[in-house]
Amino acid sequence: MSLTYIGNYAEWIKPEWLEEVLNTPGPEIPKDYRIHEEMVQKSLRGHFDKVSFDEEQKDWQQMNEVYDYDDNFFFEMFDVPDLTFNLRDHRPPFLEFAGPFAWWITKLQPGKFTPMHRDSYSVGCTTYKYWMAWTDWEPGQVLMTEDEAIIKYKAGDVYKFTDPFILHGAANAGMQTRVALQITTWRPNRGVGE
Amino acid sequence: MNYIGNFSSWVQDEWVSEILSNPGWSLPKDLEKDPSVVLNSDERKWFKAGYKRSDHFFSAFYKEHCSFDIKAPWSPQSWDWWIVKMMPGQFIPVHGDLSMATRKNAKSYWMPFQDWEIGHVFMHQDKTITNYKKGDVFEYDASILHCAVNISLVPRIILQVREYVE
Repeated sequence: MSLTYIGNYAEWIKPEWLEEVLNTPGPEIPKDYRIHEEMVQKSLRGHFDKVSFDEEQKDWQQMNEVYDYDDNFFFEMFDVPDLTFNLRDHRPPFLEFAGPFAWWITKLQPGKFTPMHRDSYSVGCTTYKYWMAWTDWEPGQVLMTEDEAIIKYKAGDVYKFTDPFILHGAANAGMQTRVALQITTWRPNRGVGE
Repeated sequence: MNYIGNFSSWVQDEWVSEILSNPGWSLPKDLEKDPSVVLNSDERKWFKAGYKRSDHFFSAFYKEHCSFDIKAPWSPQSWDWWIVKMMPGQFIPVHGDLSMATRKNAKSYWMPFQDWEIGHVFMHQDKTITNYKKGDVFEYDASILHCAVNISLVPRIILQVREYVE
């Protein structure tokens, strides 16, 4: 299976982090992706690298052809510069490696989703990739991979991608906002893994 | 959710082509065209949660939208039918079909017109239905919370049949 359950680390999540994410409008992906990416790269790396941006854009190429997202957006994504806290200062206890990591938080309000995609920036590199729920599962919410549909999770549950390159996506057809943390060890656009 | 059987040979390719090439009824947007429609409590919850009534969640095809009629081979009783088309990124939020909760001897059936694709999900209570084949038929309790999403790259077409035993 492509996801392995690691454990529940709800106590590590500070209530004020979740509150900030829930109460702050995040960059709307893909609508704000280019502008947001430039801001993030300049903040974390000091410059915008179009080559690595184009590499990351490969994730979205197929979706560009199929999804109609003019004036719409799939989900909100928070990177380090978007929030007042930085999880690099609060290293997650479940990480099974030493060294740097990239993190970002996705917020799916009701009716929002992340289309199935591969993280192209991970391909060909040794990569650890984790997903952590920050809100309890509600009916209508799902995390999907090629071979699994994860539901009924609790806030704090952590899953490791046994295959970081696998197709994955998420949807919220429920009534409550869904928040999740992603962590990876290879994301050049975020200055990690170079 | 009870598996009834597979009836793939009964599904006509031209039905799928017709559904794919026609718009059907846009829900919930087109509900506003029918003043007789009264929202049920789950639908009212959608709009309180942030869903917009003017949005297009998915397309529904009833008999009046189709050149063909459906006579489900597994169900000899009187019934209604409709077809759901979800393009990539479309969904139906969680809801229970409340009319089914009070109607005696009513049964609901669900049949995909295509093989399952990664990113197609039907959720019923706390279960997900994936890995199905074209023509599989499931009976389910429609009064229980359920929903569906399509986050794949291909359309998703489902036949819904409702049987009323006299």
